[in-house]
Amino acid sequence: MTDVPQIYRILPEVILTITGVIIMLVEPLLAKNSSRKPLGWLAVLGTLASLAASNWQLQLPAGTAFYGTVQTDAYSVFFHVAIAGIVLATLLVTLDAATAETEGLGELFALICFGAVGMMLMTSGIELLLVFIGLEISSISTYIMAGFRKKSAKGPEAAIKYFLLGSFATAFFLYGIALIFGATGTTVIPAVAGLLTSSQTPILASIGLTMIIIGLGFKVSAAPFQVWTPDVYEGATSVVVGLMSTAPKAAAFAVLLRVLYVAFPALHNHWQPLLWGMAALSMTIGNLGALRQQNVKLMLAYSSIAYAGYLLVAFTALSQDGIAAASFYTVSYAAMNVGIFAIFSHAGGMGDRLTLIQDYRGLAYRSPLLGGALAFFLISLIGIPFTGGFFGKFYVFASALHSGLVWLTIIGLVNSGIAAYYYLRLLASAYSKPVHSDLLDGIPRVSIPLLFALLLTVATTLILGIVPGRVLAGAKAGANTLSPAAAIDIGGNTDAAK
Amino acid sequence: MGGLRKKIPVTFWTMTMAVFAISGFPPFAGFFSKDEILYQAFVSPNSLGKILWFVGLLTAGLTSFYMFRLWYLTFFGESRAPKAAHDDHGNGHAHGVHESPWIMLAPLAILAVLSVIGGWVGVPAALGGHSEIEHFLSPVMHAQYLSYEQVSVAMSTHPQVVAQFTNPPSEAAEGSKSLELLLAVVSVAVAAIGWFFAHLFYFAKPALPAQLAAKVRGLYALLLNKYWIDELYGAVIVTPILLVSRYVLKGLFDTGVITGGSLALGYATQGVGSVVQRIQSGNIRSYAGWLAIGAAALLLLTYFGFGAHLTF
Amino acid sequence: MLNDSILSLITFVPTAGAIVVALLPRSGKLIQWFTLLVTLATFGLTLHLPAHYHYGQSGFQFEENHPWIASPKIGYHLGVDGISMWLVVLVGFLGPMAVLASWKAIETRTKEFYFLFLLQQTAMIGVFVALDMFLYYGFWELSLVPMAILIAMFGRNRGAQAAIKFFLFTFIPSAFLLVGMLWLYAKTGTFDFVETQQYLSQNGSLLAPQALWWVSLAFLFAFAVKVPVFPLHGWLSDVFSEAPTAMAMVVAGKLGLYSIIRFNLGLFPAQSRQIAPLMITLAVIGILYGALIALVQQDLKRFIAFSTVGHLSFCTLGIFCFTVVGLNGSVYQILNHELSGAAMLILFGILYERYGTYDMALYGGLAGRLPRMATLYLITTLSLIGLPILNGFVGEFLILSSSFGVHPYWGAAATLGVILSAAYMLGMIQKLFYGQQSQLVANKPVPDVMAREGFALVPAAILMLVLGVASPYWIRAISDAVNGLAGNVAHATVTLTTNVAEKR
Repeated sequence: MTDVPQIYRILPEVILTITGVIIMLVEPLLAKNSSRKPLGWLAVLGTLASLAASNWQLQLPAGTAFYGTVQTDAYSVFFHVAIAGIVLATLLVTLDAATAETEGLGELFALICFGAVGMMLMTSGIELLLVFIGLEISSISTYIMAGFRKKSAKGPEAAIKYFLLGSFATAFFLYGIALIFGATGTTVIPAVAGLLTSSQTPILASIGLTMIIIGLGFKVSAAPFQVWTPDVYEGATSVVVGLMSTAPKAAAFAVLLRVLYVAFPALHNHWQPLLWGMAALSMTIGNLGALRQQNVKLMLAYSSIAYAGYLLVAFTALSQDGIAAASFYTVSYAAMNVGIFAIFSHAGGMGDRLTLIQDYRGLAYRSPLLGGALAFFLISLIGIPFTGGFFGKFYVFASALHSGLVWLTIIGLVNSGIAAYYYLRLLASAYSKPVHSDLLDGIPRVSIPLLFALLLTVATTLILGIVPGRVLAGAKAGANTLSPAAAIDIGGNTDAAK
Repeated sequence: MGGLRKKIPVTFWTMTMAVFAISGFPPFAGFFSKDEILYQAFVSPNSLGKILWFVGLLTAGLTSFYMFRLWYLTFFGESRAPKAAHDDHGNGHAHGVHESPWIMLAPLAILAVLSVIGGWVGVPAALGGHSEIEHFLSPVMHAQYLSYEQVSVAMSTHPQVVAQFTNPPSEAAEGSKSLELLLAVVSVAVAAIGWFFAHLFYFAKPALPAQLAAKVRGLYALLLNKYWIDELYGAVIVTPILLVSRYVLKGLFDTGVITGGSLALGYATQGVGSVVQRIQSGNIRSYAGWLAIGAAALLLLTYFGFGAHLTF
Repeated sequence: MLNDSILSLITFVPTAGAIVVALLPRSGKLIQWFTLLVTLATFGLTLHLPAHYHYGQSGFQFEENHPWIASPKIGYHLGVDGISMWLVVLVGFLGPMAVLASWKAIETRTKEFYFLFLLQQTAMIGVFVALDMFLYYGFWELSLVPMAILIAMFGRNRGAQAAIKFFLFTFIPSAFLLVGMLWLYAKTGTFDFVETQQYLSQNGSLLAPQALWWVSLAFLFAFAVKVPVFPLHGWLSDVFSEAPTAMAMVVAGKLGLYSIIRFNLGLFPAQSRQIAPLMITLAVIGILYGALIALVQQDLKRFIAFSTVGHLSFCTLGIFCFTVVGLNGSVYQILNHELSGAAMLILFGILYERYGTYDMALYGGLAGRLPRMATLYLITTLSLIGLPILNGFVGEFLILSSSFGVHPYWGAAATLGVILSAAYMLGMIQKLFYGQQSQLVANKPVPDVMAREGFALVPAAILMLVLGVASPYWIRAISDAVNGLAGNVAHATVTLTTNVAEKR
């Protein structure tokens, strides 16, 4: 285990950091009016390399590095690949949406790379302070990205809101770490479980865990910490929303899973009810809030709240299947969400010209390709079979029901039924006969990068829906490293574990 | 119409055969079927059998009467068609009376032949035949409808059990041959009476019906208007059904309850949705407040729920 | 050889066709011709099934069973029995009919239309052949999507609303269906229909009866909406009045009714028996209710929607009478109604293409102008009414006669529906074709039924006659499957009664 050079354990992060730094250094050297797009292609190359490196990490024997703060295993690789994939698609979409007038494009590319580094560190970090650092790197990048639309008042407003409220939530996270350290004397996640049993002050550990749940709950916009989401999504440009509704959330969920299942399986009777309530609340608030939205981004903001709820359902299943389902659904949600925001960003440009559902009326007539892709992603979000969205949801609820969570399953599936309504409004609008609209006339031709991005997201969504075997195996392997079957052997009924 | 016998002879002859068959004269087809039905009604163990037989007999006479009335009025006597139609006849076939093309005559001829000989397959025993089709439908009439239990029992035990359900019951009591013969004579006689009156009214003394109608005007009006049954149906059944369907079922129930119900459910959900949306004030202090409340709720739950759930 | 892959072939030939359609250029009638070819090929393939069907067996045939996803354990399991076989053939038969009916009606966006149309074919066939519940659910939900999009795209005036209404009406109850399936999976560890059936019939008594009861209700609810069973028919008239003919033809009836027979009777026989009185009541109400509202409808599309509610309720009645004859009749009636109802919708559609309105009041005296169309209308009408020697009679007779044996009063009430159905159907014929020529008809000379329309309708009319005369040919296979089901139900009932007896 020790013969593996330590740097290999963080190779993807290192590659992306170098890429980001190069971009930052080169950007001021470029002529003021010259295109920044080559920097984007550089970032794409870096991301591809990082993706390959993550995949290559599977060859390494599972193990830790840097004094036991970083661990590469099937679980971390799974999320690394997911995050790299999201970043790759986002970069391609940015390349498509950017025009000569777009300001600060170079910085945006660099920030995307740096944010990805933070997120990747979160998923491979097994030391809470390192995880915190990763969280901060990713958060600060996203705060800035949220304000990317500097010309519109909404951009900076979103950034400020996100920053203030995010800091508030991060404080909870940090305080939680402190309390856990107080209770157990360690911040290494795998060590917590063992020390917890001998802790003199288990109540502290418990409160500390709740604080971590609060902090991460904010990041994944789970109710009741979802309030920031719609405002920030509305203000940020579509490209950024596509990224920040998927990658940081995937990372935060990965951390939460690791903390809950590795450090605190013993306290599951404490955290399971909390997550149960958060899941039910998130699904309901998310879907009801989205019902009457006219603004597509607000609608998807609420839908992402509901998505956090669905994922938390898998958390409460207390089984390996639950962990695997959560991991799997993260990926499938990311594919379709990045895809749908790619369409919004192409149609609306960096300035988000098309905001309302009715603005998209007749899109399918104007551009069958965009319309078809939009329809496909919406169908996946609704949860129609043979798409990743369905299989993810299906797997989540199958694992929940297998653990006897009948009511949560019913709440969830009825919610997904209601959710169909708002997705359908957009779908029906895109497929209604067009009225003459300058907005649609302004949509540029589909560019090569966008085509790649759509191909990537559509293919992923379709593969996850029809032949999910490989990804499923990856998710299961990850779940297995996280919590070998015996860790919490709950099965049907939580009382049986006592 | 009237006096068409010479103009459309084929139609006349085929119709003649049909008239005789329907009226039930032997050896035409109608005789055998009618005779058999009346006979079975008469010998039926059911107490209503005799009454039904009588009603049947009476209407057989009436059938004969109106069929021959039709026959006489159409084919005999003077034409009652308007003069104009007759004038056309000379120079164009458009409106004149003429024989139909062969495509219509051929089926007529086939049907006419059948109405003559068609009954011979069922000559009852009383008249020296052996009714070929008497038992034609008996498999259908005696088939039982098996319930799931019966089928399953049958399948699990033996095919013979199925037969138990499908065997026809023993033959019903049958009357004697002489009775059947007598009844046949009676029914033919009644048909003949019908023919006789038709001949009297519409051939021999064409003025008689009008005189008769004048004498019993009320009855005639009743008959002419088909007992006002249509009007009665209209007022008692059709109109109320239409009104209830239109206003109560369609207007009130389908629009109100079925459509309205689902709409109400939809609006109620959306109403809750707009309440949820109201949290989104855009005010950052209120957001921080919500965050704090949520965090406080979770922490309180943890603190007070902790003792109960401690599982070390 | 072919027997091992025929069902996959039938299911996915339309999908392959759809992909090709997406790549074809939008020029001339190329897409139409190609789609016609694909549907004809599919129909030809479906005919392989009755040709090679082994009669006298109650199990599934032409089975294909491959593992698909290891965990959760999901298989790619296809197969048909006597019930689903004819439904597959029916879908195959209606395919070319629908294409011909859409030939002129759909002039813009043909690529989208035929692409989605072919996907819809795959989804419907898939529902009938899938024997894995995951796969089944996949096709079941998939069948919503093309339908909804096409209604939104080609709706007459409120297409988008009708599409959303349709989708939600089916999708939300399907959520309950999914809960039910997942619950079964949690207990049985498999999504395979056959294995689940075996498990339930052997170990069903080990499961909580209360829970099984709720699960069976979840299944029934989802299917009943799709049929639709009164009072869940709220979506139907909107969909009928908005949907293009090719979609309205297939939207109601067979999917839901088949699923009730397959799943509710197949998996939950005892529970289905318990709920039968309610379903029979709803069916009879539906028969009368649909007929009475059809009686006062002016819009032809809404008219046929309510007549559909009435006619499909006959099938529901037959299913829940729990007799072999009734069930045979129900399956047969599904075939009949889909065929004749589809023909009726096409006929309404071609009238609309000529005169541009579905308002019955604007028509009158068409018979003099369009004698061939009048003939086709009359044959179809008589078939829907259930005139002997036409197909509708056989089904209705079997259903009604078995309902008389089981529930004489409900049977009598349902028979009233037959009279009412004759009243409104013939009333419609009278208003359209006889009487004074209306202004619309008098002022607008239109062609009679054209060759293309004839190709769609004449085979249907012939089939109506053949189905009416040669019913044993079809019922033979249906009866095999139904007898198998009957044994299953009887077994469950016996088990149930013994269990109850033991508990006492």
